Amino acid sequence: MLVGEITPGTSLSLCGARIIYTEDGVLRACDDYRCEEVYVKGVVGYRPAPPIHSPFRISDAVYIEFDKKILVNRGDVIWAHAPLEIILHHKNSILARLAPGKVKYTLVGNIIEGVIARYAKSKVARGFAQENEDPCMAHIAFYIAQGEDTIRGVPFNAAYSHLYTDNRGTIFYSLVEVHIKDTIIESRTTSKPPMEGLKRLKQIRVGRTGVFSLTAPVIAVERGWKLWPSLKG
Amino acid sequence: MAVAQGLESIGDLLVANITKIASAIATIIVGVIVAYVVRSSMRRTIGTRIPPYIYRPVENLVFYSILILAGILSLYPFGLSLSSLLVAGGFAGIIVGLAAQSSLGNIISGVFLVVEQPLRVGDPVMIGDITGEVVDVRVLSTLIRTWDGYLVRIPNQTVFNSIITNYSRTKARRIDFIIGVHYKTDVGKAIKSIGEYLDSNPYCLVNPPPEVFVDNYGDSSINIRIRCWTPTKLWYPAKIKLQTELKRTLEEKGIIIPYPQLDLHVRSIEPIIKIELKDMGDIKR
Repeated sequence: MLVGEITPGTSLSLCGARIIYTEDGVLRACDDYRCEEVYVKGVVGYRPAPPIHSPFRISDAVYIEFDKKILVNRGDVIWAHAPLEIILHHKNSILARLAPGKVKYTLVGNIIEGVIARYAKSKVARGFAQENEDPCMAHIAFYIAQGEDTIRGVPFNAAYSHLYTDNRGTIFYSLVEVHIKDTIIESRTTSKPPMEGLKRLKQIRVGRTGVFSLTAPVIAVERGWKLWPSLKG
Repeated sequence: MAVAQGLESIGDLLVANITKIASAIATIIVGVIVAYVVRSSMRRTIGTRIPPYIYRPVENLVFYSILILAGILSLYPFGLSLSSLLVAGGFAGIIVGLAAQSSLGNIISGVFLVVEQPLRVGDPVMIGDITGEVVDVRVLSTLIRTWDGYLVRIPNQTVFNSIITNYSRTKARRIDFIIGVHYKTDVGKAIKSIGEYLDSNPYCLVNPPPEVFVDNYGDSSINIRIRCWTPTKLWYPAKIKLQTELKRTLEEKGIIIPYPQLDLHVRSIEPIIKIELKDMGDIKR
C-alpha cells in the first residue's frame, strides 16, 4: 500500500525509500539520491504522486517504453506500468518527495523540439492485468483515439494526471489519449479514470496544470531516436 | 551693452512664452510619470505571467513610446505639429544619423535581436569570448552576467555581428571527456564498468545513449572517451558529478588511472670521468 500514515517512533521502508520518524519529532526520509530531515509533530501521511519532482524538477513528461513494439488501431486500449514518487506530507504541507528506485531520463523527439521525459520501461498488454510485477509502479491505460501503427512507447504529461485507486490499494493513472498521426505521436492526459469503480486519490500541489500535449516524431517513439549509432552495442 | 540687450530680449521672450514653456515642462513631467506608472503596473500584472524574453522588449517599447509621445506633445504649444516635425525630422535625421551612427546601429541591431531572438533573457550564451547569462536586452546594449559574477554591457551592434552560441536552445547537451587507464588494465572491463556507472546515473539520458570507447593510446595510458547526454539544465552539475564519481568507481573496480610516466632503458654504463692515479708513491708513504 502506497497510501498510509507514520507515527513518531516508527520507521518504514517504502519502495526502496527509507523513512525514520523519531520520538522527538525528526522525520528523516531518504531515497537513492538524497536525504531530507524535517522537524514535525503529529501523524505524517504518505501517498503516491506523479514522478516529476524527484530527484530533479526538469520535466512534466514521462515516457513509457514498451518491452516490445505493439500494433495499435483506433479505439484500442493498451495497458502498461508507469513510475510514481512518494510524497510525505503533514495535512497539506509537503515534507519530502522520494523517488523509489533508480531514476532515468530520456529525450523523446529531436534535440530542438523534443521533450525531456522521465523514462520507464514496461510490459504492455491489451487488457488490464491486476498482477503488477512492481508494486511501486502504477497502472496506466492508453486509449488510441486516432491512427494505426506500431508504437514503441508513449510520452505523456504526468503533471496533469490524476491518480486513482481501487479497493485493493492498486494505483492507476488517469486515462491518456493517444493520437497517432503521419509523423508524430501526440498524447493528451485526461482526468478520466481508466476504468469504472475507482476512487480518485487526493493530490497535494502537483506541479502545473492545464491541457498539455506532447508531440514527437513517430520515429522517436517507434525506433528510439538516436543522433548517430551508439558504439555501446 | 550688446550682451545686456541680448539677455533682455531673451528675458522678454521667456516672459512672453512662460505659459508655453510651463506647459511643455508639465507635459514632459506628466509623460515621464505616466511612463513609470504604466511600466510599474505592467510589471505587476503581466510581468510575472509571461516569459521575460517576451515581456522585456514589450516593456521597453511601451515605456519609450510614452516618453517620445510626451516629447512630441510638449512641442505643440510652440506651434510645432507632427507634420512639421516629420519634415524637420527628415533634415534632422540626416544630421543625427551622421552624428549618431553607432547609436542608431545599436538601436537597429537591438530591434533585430528582439525580432530574431538569437538570445533571450535568462539564456546561458557565449557572445564572442564573453560567456554568461543574458540579464537584459536593452535599446542600445545587451547585459550579460558572466559566470564569475561580473556584469558586462555589450553594444547591440557588436552582439548582432558576433558569433552567438546559445546553450539553452537544445533540450540536451553532451558531456565529453577522456579518462586514461593503465596499459595493464583489461580495457573491456574498464569500458563495461564505466558503461554500468553511466547507466545507473540519473543525469545521463537513456536516449541519445552514452558512448564509451578507446579514443587513443597515449604515452602513459589507454585513453577512454566518455560521452553522455544530459538535460541542458543539468549539464554543469552532471559534468562535475560524473568526473568526480568516475574516478571512485574505477578505483573500486581495481582499475588504475596512471600518472604520466617515462621508462628509461640503459644498455651499458660507460664511465664519464676517468681518473688515473700516477706517482702515488709519496702518498702511500
